[in-house]
Amino acid sequence: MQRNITHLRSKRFLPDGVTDKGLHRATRHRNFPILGFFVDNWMSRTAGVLAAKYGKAYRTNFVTYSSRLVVTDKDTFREIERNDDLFGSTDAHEVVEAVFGESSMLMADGRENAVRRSKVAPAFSPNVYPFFFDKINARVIKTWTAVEGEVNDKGSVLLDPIFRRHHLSIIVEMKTGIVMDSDMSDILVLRSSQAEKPSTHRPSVRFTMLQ
Amino acid sequence: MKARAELISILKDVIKRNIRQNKHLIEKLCEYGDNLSFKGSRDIKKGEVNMLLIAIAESDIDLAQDPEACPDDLRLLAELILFLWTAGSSTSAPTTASAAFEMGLDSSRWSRLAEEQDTLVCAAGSVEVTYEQAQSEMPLLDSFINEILRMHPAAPGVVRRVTDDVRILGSHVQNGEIVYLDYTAAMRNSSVYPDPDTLKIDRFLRSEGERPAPGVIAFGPLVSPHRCLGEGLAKILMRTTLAVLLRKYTMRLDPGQTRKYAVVPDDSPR
Repeated sequence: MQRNITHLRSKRFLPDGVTDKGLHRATRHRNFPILGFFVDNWMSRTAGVLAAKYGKAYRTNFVTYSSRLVVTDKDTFREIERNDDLFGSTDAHEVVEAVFGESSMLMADGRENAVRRSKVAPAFSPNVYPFFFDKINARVIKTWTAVEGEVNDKGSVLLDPIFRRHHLSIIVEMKTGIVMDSDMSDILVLRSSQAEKPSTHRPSVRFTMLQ
Repeated sequence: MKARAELISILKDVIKRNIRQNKHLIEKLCEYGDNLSFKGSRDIKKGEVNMLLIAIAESDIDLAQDPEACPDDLRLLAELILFLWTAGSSTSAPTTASAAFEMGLDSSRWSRLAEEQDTLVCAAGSVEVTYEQAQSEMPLLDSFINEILRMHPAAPGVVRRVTDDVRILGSHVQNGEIVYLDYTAAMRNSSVYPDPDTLKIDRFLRSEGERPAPGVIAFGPLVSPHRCLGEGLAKILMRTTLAVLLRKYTMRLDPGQTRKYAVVPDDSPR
């Protein structure tokens, strides 16, 4: 057992210079080979309320996925995201790659990610939001006026598809200048396939407006 | 995939048209570079610029040449726009829907949020939402949206592939294995967010003497090279949409509505 731990210790854990809490804190007892194992184990099991049931990290085996480690700790997320040479986005998102291409923002790590982000970042800078705000506002008012009209006609309206079209139209207009008046939501590949099976995160909201 | 190829081709045409029609504006944007701002760039008018023009200015596309001469840059930009369209709308739309739903579910939430908007309307003397209001003058609505993001994040987590053997919180993960960062579970951690399964619209409100809850992770960890770029924009969009609703209308949730959707996936700890 001791050899096993030593073996693991000799493997790379995190790049040098990581002194933050989170991952590092969870392994500092590994300096004491045998005792450290139990201390680590005990710490990861008792820290936080989540750990009472599952721990901050636990293994899961979905039917459709291979075995994976699920991490539920905020501080650990930060360490993982910072060390993206060890925790890569590349190859991790099969679906994303198929739909958006391997050059998608989600697929890049390290320097490549930094370069790609820096090219898009000026378009997302808060300094430029006021350029777009009037368009957002006008579209919001247009959407709610349309909802009002529909409620007056039918008595109630399902807001979920309206929000989908509303947000898509604003984003399309801000990003390309195209004013979207027809329903373009079906041409997005992801959207049309998602529409067939309702997601647990996607509420279907039907409202009646009171004048 | 065929639809995707068609869309990419349409987007390439949109980019080319934008370059053709707005060459001078893009050149101006190139000059400003990172210094572009609404206050500092007076020669650029409101509504004249869109995000694509800024992205073209920042891209490697050479304006002096025919865009067809650099097909790779053109394709990359078209793919980027497709990604941003989907990433932007497929996350903010369900969050707005969740927010509207939770507002309709409890009239006290509705009245508190409407009260904040009424105060703003009275102070400004106009029912129009202004940029300044949407940006920073609606703390309660902002806290409510954060709470919705905490309880019903549109992106419940991300995956990473490990590139070397590693130990994470006591578990050994082999090179090539997948690690799932479960945002939903982390944002229901009672040691970070007390009483995590209860929706508290003022959870993220800053009040004197009390520490507000730490921010949400729905957009990724706070200092992460992968944090969502569109966070600020998405929040302005959601705040404006909900503010107009609260200012102009009163709503009632359809009696047939249930809150069945609001479940944490079974594989996540509560």
